Amino acid sequence: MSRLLRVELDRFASRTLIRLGVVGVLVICCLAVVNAWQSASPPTEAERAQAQVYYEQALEDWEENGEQWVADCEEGEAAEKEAATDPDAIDWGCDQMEPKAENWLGSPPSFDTDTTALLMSMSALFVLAPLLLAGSFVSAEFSTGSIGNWLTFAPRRTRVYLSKVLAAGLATIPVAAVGVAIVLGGSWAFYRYFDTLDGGPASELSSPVHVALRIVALAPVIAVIGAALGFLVRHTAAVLGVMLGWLVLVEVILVGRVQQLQPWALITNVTAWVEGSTEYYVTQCTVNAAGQSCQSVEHVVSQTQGAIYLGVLAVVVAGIALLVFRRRDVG
Amino acid sequence: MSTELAISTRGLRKTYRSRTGQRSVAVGGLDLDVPVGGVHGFLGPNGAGKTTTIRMLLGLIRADSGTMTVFGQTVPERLPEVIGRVGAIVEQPKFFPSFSGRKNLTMLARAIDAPTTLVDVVLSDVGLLDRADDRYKGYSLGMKQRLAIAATLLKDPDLLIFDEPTNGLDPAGIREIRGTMRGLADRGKTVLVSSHILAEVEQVADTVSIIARGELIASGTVADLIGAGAAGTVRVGIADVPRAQQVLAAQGWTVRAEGRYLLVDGGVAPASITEALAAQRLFVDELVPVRVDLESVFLELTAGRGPGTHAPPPAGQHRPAHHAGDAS
Repeated sequence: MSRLLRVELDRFASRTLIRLGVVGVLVICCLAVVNAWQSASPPTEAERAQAQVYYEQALEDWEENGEQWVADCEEGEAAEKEAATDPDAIDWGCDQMEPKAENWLGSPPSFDTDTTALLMSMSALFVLAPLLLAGSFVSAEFSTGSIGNWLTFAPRRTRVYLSKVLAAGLATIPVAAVGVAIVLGGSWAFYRYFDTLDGGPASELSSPVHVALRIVALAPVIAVIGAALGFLVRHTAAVLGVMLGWLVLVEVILVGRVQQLQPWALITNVTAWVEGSTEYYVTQCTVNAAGQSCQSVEHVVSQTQGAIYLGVLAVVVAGIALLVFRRRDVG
Repeated sequence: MSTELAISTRGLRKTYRSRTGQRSVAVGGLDLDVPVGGVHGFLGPNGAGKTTTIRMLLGLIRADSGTMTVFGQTVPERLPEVIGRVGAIVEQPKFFPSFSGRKNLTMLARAIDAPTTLVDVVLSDVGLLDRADDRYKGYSLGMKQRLAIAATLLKDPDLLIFDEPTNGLDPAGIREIRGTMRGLADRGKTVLVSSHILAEVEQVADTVSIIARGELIASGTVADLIGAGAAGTVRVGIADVPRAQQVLAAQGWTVRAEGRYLLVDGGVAPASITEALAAQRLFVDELVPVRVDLESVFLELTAGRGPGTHAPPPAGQHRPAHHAGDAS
């Protein structure tokens, strides 16, 4: 088994398409670091001066019309509260309307906040890439027919299956680790360069490092699912098709229509795992004397649920693929 | 020839379901015996079930029913125990196209725990050492076939299975493969070669099995199958065909006219024919014993038996008596 695993890891690392895919992932990570550069750099004197001009103009408008704007705001808020079943939930922020300088200058750079947000925004890449790399790794053997030749050397199908799925999972760990390290390290370097790190290293790094570690942990799980899909559909394009089909038909259309399915959507659970937790909203409507009243009720999906969901999904898909591969004729 | 069997199948059956739900029989109750040692030709028209049988023996597809053994081990259950003794090329060789020949073989060697130093040895054996670092997808068909043979040699197998090994090869490549098969058999290996090209099998095979529609219809040594027919027919070219036919028929022989020729069946000695005709002042222009080859046996046996089978052979060719059950 370990012999087959080592051979499969070698094959993963040697495939041209996979090498290109890995390079692509790392290039995207490098491009994301450009975003960190922009976030880390403090505003220039010219930007500050321009912002000050805009702020002063807004302040003049406010002094002239502010009272009227606040009155209009409070009138609208009161009308909505009157119609709502839970008036305390209505807040238009009428007392926050006065212009402030930071509205134009932007918030000061924060390595912790900005890098965490950047890594979260890249989690889709670290789902898509392992899925396709692993799917392509396995399905190429079926589309070239080399799996048949391989089985005449290693006929124990369970071992062959496990070696390929495990290899796909293990091989994506360094890819994800290097990818997030580029983003994390690059971002850190820029904030340090601009001297915009506003705390000690430990406090600054804590949140983005945790997100990065969760992304690295997610990669092999998704790769196992991708490899299992490769065994099931036997073509890279079909793996991609299954993924896109799932996204459109289930995640967008079905979950969009049946809101109660949101906690069981893949995207929700991936987000919950990567971000620590996530929220989704269900619209609840009630009918009273004033007519129908609807409001969004927030629900939270915990990180634990995300972990269990992804683990169970990987086990189920991998199990089905193993059963199919053990029984299926190899052409 | 050993009586020990390298391969044996009994009642082996495989059906496929079409998209319309209809079942078609690929192999229908095949009883096949391949003796240890020598080259065994596994013959049949296209679609007869040769490749399906080989794939079942190698555990690539599942049989619906029946039993199979390889060197006495029941397969596919005990295939892992015996696979090290079996090297196989099923249809076209299939390796990883973006890897070099050496890389492909190295991975296979590592998978079976063979020393990787063996890779260059087998590449040298098949004459591919100088192209070993080229990508497999750049290989010619003949080179691919040679690489596949090299792969089988990594195991130093006792049984080699070649499925249509000369498909797409030029004459030199065909000759090379034939030489390789014969050489392996001479080294004590058992070679099972499936083919629908009879001439090449006839030159190299010691024994053959002929199947059609997934059933065995004849088996035995090549000599036995051809030999039965060799006792047969003499073609006589003569000017006065009607009179000569009367003269020969009067001798009690079976004589048929075919154009300007007479065909005398029943193993009559050519000398007796010339003697009988000369006595009546009839002199032959041509006297040819009709040679029965494996192809004519094959065509006769498989005539009308499903896809890829052939029309009955032309008159004058012999129908052999070696059907399944009475093969030697």
